Amino acid sequence: MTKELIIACAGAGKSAKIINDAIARYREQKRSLILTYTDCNQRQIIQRLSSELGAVPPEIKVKGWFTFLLEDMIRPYQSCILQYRVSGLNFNETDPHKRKGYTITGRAERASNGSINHKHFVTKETKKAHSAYLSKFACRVAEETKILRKVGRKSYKIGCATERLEEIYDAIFIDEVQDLVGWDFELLRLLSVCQELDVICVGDFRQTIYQTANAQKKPKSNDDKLSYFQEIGFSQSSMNKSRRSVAAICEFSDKIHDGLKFPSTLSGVDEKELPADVAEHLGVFAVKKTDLEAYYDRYHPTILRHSQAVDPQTCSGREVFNFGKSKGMTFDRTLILPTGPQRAFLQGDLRAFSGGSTDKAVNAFYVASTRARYSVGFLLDEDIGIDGVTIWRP
Amino acid sequence: MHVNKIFIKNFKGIREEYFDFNKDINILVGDNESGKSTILEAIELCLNLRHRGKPLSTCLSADLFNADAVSRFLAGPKDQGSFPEILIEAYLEGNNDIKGNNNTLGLNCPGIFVRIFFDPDLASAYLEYAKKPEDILSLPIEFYRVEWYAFSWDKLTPYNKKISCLFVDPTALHPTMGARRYISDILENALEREDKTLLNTNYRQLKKKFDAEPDVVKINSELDKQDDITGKNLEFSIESSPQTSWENNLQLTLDSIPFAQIGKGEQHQVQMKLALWKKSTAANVVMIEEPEIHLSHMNLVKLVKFIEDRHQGQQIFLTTHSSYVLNKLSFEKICLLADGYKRLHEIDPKTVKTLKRLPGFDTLRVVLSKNVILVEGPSDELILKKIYHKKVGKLPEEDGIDIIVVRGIGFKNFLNIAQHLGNAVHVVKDNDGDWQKNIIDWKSPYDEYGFIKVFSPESAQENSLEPAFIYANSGSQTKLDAYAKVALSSQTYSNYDNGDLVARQAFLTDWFSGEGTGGRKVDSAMRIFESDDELVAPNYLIEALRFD
Repeated sequence: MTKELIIACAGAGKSAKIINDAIARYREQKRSLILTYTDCNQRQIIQRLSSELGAVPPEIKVKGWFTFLLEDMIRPYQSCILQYRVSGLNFNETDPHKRKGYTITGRAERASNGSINHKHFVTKETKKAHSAYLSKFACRVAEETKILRKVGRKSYKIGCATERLEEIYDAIFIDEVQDLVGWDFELLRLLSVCQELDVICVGDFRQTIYQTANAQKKPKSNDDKLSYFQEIGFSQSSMNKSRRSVAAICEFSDKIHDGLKFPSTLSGVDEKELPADVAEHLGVFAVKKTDLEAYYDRYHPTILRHSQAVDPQTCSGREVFNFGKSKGMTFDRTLILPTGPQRAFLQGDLRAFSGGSTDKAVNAFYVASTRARYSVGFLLDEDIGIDGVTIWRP
Repeated sequence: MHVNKIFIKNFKGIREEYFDFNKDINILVGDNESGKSTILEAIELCLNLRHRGKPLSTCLSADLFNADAVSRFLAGPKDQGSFPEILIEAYLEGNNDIKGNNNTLGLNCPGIFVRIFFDPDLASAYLEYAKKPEDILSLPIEFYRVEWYAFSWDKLTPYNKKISCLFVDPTALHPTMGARRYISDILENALEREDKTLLNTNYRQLKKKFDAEPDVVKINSELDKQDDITGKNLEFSIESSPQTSWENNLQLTLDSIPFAQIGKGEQHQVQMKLALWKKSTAANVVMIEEPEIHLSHMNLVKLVKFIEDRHQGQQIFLTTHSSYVLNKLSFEKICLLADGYKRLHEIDPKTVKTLKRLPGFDTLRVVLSKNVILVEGPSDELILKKIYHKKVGKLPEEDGIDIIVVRGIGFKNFLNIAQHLGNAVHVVKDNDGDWQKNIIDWKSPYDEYGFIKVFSPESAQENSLEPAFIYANSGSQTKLDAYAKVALSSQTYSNYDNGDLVARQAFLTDWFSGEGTGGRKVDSAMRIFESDDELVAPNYLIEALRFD
């Protein structure tokens, strides 16, 4: 059975691939589960499935990652840890067991006698599960409901919940797999030994923006995640043709993660087919502040910014999105209001993002740079020190 | 998809019990009030969240609770912890979406449970209400909450039902009850989803058409023309609220006669057949209460044949008091409710086959009677009754002793059933001239079942009932003559009256032996039964009537 990791570039049509694959399986009466990390993506998938099929059939289930953990991995067998039903999710922005950087006492996973401490996993009053510890909870449930599964000469404890997945689905698709972290990967390991189940993970590790609040456990970095997939036997392939952006944008975006050896992005856009008024302005540009009004009037780009606090004057009255929010979206033309490290990068410092503790800043830059079909502009007065960026003149 | 097992706690007559079922047919058998219907109701409640067709929320009452549990609550401190709770769990097979181990047995299988319990959110309201516990005279049902979950602890709603169950309940057809609702339930189950949608859209079209009819438009345009009544547009229109969907407005007709107007028997048959009619959308579980009700024997035969042919892929539960239904649908499918719950799935398949071929035998009586006497023919039955009546002053059945004439299918098939039951069974059997062979050896397969006993005279002369009776009354010629006077017709008796005791014995045994004497035997037994004369009863018959 297939266990595959597909690494896609931005605009490669990841979700479309998953949807088509799931529909093809549905036509063969196979059942699929599609997992996503963001609500927005989940809605889009449901919308696209229903426009293809009229409605989402019962053979295709679309769930968010947390809902999946709760409904499929925890609740059916949670009685080994908790006698009462986990009532829902408590979304954590930060580690719920920490307050102002200090660990709250009484929240350790095990009590001194070795028994599991409920407060580690659920809130005391409402019995809601902490989202930050949800995948760890799921792993514990799997461990407590031992079912041994032999693969070659090794045997794994897969747990009742994993076995149930195998019984009710033929394939599980995980979209945005780059956003999984730590304990989530322990669950992927359990799925990896299910012979009866196809597991297809699709992601773009250059677009990791969300970070689980509890980021203690490895793998955390892109490198670690990729080697984890290798370790648990996932084959790897790539989708490196962008159906969205013209060649110049693809080439520019490849420079952002230069050191990481992702395959080069090819453009699937045929520039010769574009109408003349569009083809007249293609690629990546630097726009001087003094030229802003002229540029905007001519091309009406969507403005992308780090956060609401950035340059309200430029943004007011214009279509604008924060970098994070723009993930998954497509625009004809964008104008990016660059952050400090982004400016440095544009001036030629390829290591401009290496100072941060996570990949978040560089990834956000990648997301922002890959939204546009035809042109990406940077509002920038400084000199350009990187190939492929033209200074725009009115 | 079918129900393997059900757990019932505090529901109606059942305190706390697990019941195992067959995956195809389950024939619930038991005395009146033994809990047959309660089991069906529990299954309906758990799978449909309905009670007798009505949503539970509309009929939640203290009557659903076990009476013992309620009186214990009322006698107790009436604190929050002492409220009785109803729990029904259905252990299923066939849909792993609802698999999990959240059940009282901790079994990892698909399943559903419904729980009716004191709502902890109402605890403070209850404290207020229960200031004087002695004033609480009935179960305060207002403080209860209903939970409906799969074993995976997924919440269930009537819209995401995982298994469908249809309760065919002839009593629900009473005109004062929501017969419509009931019919629509059945239609729901009998129609394909596409057909339902088509009916529904066509019905709505019909409404639209009505509104657009020139006559209707004309009437509406005349209505309140001057805006005397309202400034807004006043019109007649067919009601189109969701409550008046097609199911409620369509009716079923047979030869143009509305369903509710046809005979009860036909109504009942149509309902049951609809329930089993279509494979693809049909209910997974069909429950039928007493299919024999309102039906003539011939119609019952047809109905049972229909059930037999159509049930494939569905799980059937039915209650019955008819041996015919039982024998025909396979005796091994019995689920017996008497002194605990018993299934008879291990019965000898040959017996099951025989009963299917010869369904007319009264097997249900063997199952339900506490004390059974099996006899060969009607003469034995008459004589035994006479003996008992003479001794006790009433008939044996009045004391719960059931005398069953085994006739064509023989003792063995009855004993093959009885060995699984444990009720006292006395067999009254002729030795046919060889006590060792026909009684002792014959009985040996049942020796391990102490509750099965065989009664027969040992002597080879007393090879059947009549010789045994003759020898029992041969103490003196007077006694024998007294017997002969009762047992023989007056015409035969006139030929009897000569010779010594031995000659008279010989005349009598001769008279009753040989081919074609069956009629004489029954006539004679009838005369003995009706006579008040003192006769000596053979000892083995007296013994056979003695139950501990």
